[in-house]
Amino acid sequence: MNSVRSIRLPISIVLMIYCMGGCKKTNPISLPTQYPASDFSQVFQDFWSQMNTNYVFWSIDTVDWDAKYKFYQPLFAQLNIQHPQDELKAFQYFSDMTRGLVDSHYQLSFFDPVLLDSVFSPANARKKGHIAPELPFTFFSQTITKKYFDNSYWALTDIPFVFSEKDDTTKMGLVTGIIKKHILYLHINQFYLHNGIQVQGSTILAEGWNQFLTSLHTAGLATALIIDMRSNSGGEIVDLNYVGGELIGSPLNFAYTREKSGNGRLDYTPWADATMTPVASATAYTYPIVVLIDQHSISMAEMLTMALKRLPNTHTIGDTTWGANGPLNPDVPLYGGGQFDFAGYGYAYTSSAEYMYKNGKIYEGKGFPPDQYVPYNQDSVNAGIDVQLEAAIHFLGY
Amino acid sequence: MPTTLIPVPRFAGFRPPTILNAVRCAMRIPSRLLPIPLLLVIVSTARGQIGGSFEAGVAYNKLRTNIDNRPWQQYKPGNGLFVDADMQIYLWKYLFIQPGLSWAQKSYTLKQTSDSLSALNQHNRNDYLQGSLSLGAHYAFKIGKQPLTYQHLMNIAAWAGLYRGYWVDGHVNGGLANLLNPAAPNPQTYTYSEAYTFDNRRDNRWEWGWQAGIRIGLDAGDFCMPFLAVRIYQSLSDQQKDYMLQQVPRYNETLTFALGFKTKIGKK
Repeated sequence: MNSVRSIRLPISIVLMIYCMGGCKKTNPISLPTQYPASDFSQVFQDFWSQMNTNYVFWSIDTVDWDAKYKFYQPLFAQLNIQHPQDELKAFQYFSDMTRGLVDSHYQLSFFDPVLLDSVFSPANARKKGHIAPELPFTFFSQTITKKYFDNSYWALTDIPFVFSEKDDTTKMGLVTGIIKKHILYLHINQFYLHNGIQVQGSTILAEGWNQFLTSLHTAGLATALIIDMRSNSGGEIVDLNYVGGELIGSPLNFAYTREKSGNGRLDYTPWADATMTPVASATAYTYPIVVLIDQHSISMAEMLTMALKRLPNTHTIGDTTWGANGPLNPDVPLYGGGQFDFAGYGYAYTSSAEYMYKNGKIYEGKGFPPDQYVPYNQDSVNAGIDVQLEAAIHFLGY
Repeated sequence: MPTTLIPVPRFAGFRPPTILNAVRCAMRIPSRLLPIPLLLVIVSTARGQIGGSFEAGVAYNKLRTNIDNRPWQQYKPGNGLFVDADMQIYLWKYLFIQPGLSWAQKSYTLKQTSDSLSALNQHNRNDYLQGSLSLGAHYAFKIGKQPLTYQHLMNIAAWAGLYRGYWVDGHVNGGLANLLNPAAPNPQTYTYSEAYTFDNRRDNRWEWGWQAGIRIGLDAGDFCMPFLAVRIYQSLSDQQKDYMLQQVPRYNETLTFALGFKTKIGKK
């Protein structure tokens, strides 16, 4: 009994000390108390803190997010969410505080009726006035097919898609054909090819795609290949394998991605391999490949270009791409970060993973440079001449 | 009569052993190393026995933080190994000072709350090298009514003090939903098991806090005494540097359970 008494005191002391440790304060990140938020202070706080945890480029971004808090928090606190003039001011504040973000997918939109048509994209704002015009689909389907092609096929169709929680449709186009008897050509304006053929059942897209595949696999026909990613605004990641998987015989690791983990600004998972997988029965395409890119090659167009650039027989020609490499998915619990609704007031469309090319460089906000720089030439385009395509044909020796 | 100041000869590496110079020397010691001279002073003034102990066991670590803003994730405690070597300097009948050195694996899991996503859990194991200094008390007592021999004496000791640790390295393993691998079934889980990569902007590798423990074992006099020890290390420093506004701190809280032996090293 004495022995029990003897150890009771020290055990009690240790337990008491242990419980003291449990009293240490670790306050959570504050969440909006109302949804939608009833004032701009809550809207700002939710936006700022979700950017902290969900935005994937803090490791390289030069925007001082703490300084943005100190500067804009008092400004938002002065605004009245019921006053349309203040809502317009809020839009301006949101635009100003995100203007320098490196994520070139980044876009802010709003649910409030006053700001329903207001959208802000930092990359668009930065590039406005400093970028060559986008080539229209008719330049590919009409102008260059008439001038350079032996035979050609093109298709354009509506594909339904969801963007920033809004239903919409987009025009999916495809052009394929043969140039100088042996150069197989493919242009896709957006990567909704798998969706268009396998999900939507588009017969005109399927016909064009089958023509391309038939030419690709006809022995001795396609002894060179041009994949034209110019003015391709990106699309679904599934097309990475659906298109690129036709050209490789084994899985190809071409980049790395990492996702957010935890609630710190610099909390990330380790880097994971980004992999392009061949489609069933595909064999490696061993003839020369030229990938044409321009300043409007965006997102999936850049990723597929980078993946193909890992092949020893690929050469890239044109201009530096847009620089939006981070893949997107709205499922935040699954991927740990990315796009979010802030306080029921607006929506931040942003990358879900940080993307690093196999060479260890991150091209987000900078764009992927071509091997051979051939800039856009407005006079040539007006004259129906494609100087970048001609450079590709010349490089291929035809 | 005027006094003549005779300069003290200065030789390389030598200073006259005056109190003033001792203080000067102490002033030049980096604050991180101050416990060492303090310990030497304690050892030199100790009047009783000096003992040593070694123990090994398991560490149960909890990362005390808050992640309520991400309801699909939660931190769960983890287990690791623990090794410790201490010295006991007996100051008086029951009191002792206990400097020590330990190595502890402080682990935790960032778990997905949905069991269907358990493949995405991330396990962190962080290795810490720690130095501690405690003030303790011990007491010997008899078990039962047997004759009083050392086989029937127990010794219990309890102590509390401060510790400082250094996050030596770490290891992470787990999985993530791989966005850029669109092969079926989608999404593919990318599994990893690799050394933890420190981020100098975020990771605070120096940790300090308080620690306490109890040790109960046979009192074998001058011989090797086996014991069971339970300790707690409560970090008071954030595992992250103060690198952003509204940062939610993370504190390691580690309980260790170990078996060891204690022996007499010397007597003054």
